[in-house]
Amino acid sequence: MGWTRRLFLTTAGLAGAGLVVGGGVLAVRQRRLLAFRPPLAASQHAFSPWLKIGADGSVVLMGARAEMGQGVLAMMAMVVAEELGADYPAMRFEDPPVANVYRNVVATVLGLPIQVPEEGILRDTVEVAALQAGLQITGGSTSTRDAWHQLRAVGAGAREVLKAAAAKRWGVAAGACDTEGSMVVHAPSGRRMGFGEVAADAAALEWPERFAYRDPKTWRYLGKSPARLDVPGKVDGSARFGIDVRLPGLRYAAIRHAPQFGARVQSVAEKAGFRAKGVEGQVNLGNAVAVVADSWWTAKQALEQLDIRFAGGSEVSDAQIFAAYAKALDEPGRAHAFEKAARLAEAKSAATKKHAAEFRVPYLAHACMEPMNATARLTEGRLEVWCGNQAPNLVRDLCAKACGLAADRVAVHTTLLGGGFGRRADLDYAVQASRIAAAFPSRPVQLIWSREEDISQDVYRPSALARYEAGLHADGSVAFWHARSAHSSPGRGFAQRNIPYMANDLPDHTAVEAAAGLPYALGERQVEYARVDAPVPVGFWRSVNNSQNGFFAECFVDELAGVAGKDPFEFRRALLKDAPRHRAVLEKAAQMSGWGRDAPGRHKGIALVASFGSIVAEVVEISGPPAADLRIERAWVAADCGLALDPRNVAAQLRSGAIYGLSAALWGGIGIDKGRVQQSNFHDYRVLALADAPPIEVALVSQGSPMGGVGEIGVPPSMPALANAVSRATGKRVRALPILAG
Amino acid sequence: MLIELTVNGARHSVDVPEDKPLLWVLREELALTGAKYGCGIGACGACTVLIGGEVVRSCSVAAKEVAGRPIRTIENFDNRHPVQKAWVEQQVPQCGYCQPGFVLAATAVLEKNPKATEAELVAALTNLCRCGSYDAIRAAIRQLAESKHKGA
Repeated sequence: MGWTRRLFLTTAGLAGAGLVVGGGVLAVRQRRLLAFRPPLAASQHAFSPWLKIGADGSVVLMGARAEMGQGVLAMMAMVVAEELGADYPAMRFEDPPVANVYRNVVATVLGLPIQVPEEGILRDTVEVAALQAGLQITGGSTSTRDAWHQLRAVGAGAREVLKAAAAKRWGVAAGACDTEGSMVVHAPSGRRMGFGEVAADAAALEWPERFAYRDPKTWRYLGKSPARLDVPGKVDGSARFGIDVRLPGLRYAAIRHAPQFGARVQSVAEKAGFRAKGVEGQVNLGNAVAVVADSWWTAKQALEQLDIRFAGGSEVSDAQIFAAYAKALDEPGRAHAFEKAARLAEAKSAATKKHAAEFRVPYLAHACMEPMNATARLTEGRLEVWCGNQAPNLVRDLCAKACGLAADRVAVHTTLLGGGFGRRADLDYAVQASRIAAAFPSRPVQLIWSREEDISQDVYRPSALARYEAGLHADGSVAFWHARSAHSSPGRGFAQRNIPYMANDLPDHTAVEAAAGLPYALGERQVEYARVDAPVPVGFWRSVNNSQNGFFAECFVDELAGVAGKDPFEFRRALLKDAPRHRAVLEKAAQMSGWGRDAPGRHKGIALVASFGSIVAEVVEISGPPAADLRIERAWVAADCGLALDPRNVAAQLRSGAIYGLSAALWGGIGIDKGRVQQSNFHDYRVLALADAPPIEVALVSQGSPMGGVGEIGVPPSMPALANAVSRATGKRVRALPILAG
Repeated sequence: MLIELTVNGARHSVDVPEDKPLLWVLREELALTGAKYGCGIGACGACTVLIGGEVVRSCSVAAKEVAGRPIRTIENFDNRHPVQKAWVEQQVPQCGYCQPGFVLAATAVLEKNPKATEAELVAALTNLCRCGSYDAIRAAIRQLAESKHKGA
């Protein structure tokens, strides 16, 4: 249950009245936040921090979430427009300033290293604190969940004051009025008045304590998937990403990082050709050197004319890292049990059949289409930063610190993101741009990482080693399930780099997402994780730890089906006897795919992973091995994410996640040798192209579930589904990714 | 060196380093930011432009090599073009960074052969999209392929 809803209930309870079904009570939080005013142009009026209406009738949403492809701004506009009665296609977005009111409570709470109970005083306290000290982050597939109650209430509250203001002018009862097409209408008299005309009056009114939400049966936009507002600009080239920021006097910076993790710049010497026309200088950033010029290409060429010596740095290679994982799993008591079986040893000795497997996955890069970049300008003690980012308050705080400024001296302008996938929550590139700009006062400088830097200086999905063991009873049911994994902690890595005050050594429960709490009947179950810190930086990679754990668990359950002599779909289905929602999703995927009927030379694999509050099952069909080269022919995705506000976009996100995962499972691998990343560009970090990508059929399974996340949930099942198909085709179990070498 | 570029029908005199790629001249000198930097090695197609009807990856060609030739960028198209209409109707873009490149690549195929089939378009569109908008791209090119045949 989300924060706002609880406060609705609390408020309702305090007021001595129950919650009106289908209605809303203005939350305590909402009331407090109403006092905050977003920046207003002349003749604009604020209706909460999120919404402005102009005298010209324009309806502007403060788009305090990062649009990185997931359609979040359009979703937010639809939610507001629905309740407000605004003309959705005419709505506009503005990038708001960094402010506490825009913090993402759901994401902040889910990102904590402790599991906060769903209910109770601890939950409430943590959520209140999250609003004060949390992150204005777009991540963890939380935006829709965080926005649903807030923005719905914003739309409805604003609608009520607009109605009241118009009704007063007309001398009619507000209750007899409604809104549509950004107008207040009074049906009995046929009168209509544009929002712009009453905005000033309405903005001065107190918001009501309670109001009715529109009946979902009357929804015009929600559930109907109207055209996304951000699409036309993305087709005609007018959409502005961070790399497209253009300012008077703009300079460009190219950068070279120390190739080895942890190495530092020892010396920088300019060769004879360095000071070419347009080159303005170089900046030593400690672990990297940047060159500033009047053109990025010139700056990049000039980098080659620097003799940079790096010193120190890690000599680590994959073999050593995996040896450290193995050692951590070998050492008794080293791993932390997040799920602990009461009678594991007994169950192990009682099982009639036992099975064990060891799995490994490599580091993965994000490879956003738009390489990391940021633009900054430091003028008279004021810093401005323009970039695509997933956490503007961190941009502000980290760049302020880097430049020795108070946070209130920094303005952040968040642009569209050419992909995020978690990478743009880590803000090294923005900090670098600020430091470079500080060396060229009053000059805007745009730092662009080359693709090679982008691939080799990422914060990676951790590589991981897992050992799974399970046993079966004579009747084929599972007697025990013992899962153990070792890898670095993306959450801890992120915290150390970006919010060091939150970094800690508590057991990281997110490390066992999609490993612990599985919906299957698995008998005595124990799930352990050993954190192994390696010199390779790790961070949030789309679906985070679900991406490796989903692979381990779903490949292993597939193996177990084989041991039991059962069909992998039927075996899972039987294990889901106490999880009807999961079972329904699994059955839908199997049914769509025609499970059990394979054309000659075709092979299917199935997998089910619940993540971010949603349930997803995928089937992948391949052709090729062992007779020919592997080809992914088709895929089917069934998902239950609760209420889908924009079903077409939900389907697009599910396909997107599946393609992202399939790219990784087929080819994705970042290798580490002597502290250096071995890959550099799309030729050796290959991703699916149109001709490689399977057509994907999507079905949403609606069964009244709570709203879950969407942006990441398609990723985790895609990898084991592909691996299970390949295992079936070749008769040899896939236990390591990627399946093919680039 | 001083070169003359003809972009979207307009002539521009630009003073650029000898081997500066067309992409960076478009983006920095001419403020035409629709062509994107994605890889710098001609592998991803985000920087696609059309030169004399051919698809060119502008990150990998020196501006001086194409001086005087008719260059078209995404800014030459205003969403009334059939390819763009199909892209909007099928709601193709997600992050959108790669899409101008896809639109131009599809446009080039159809200009050469208005009856190009879906399979021919799929084969020609070697651009990369990390958001995995491929099903929507397929829907858009299917729509284009079918409308061409209907019109024939």
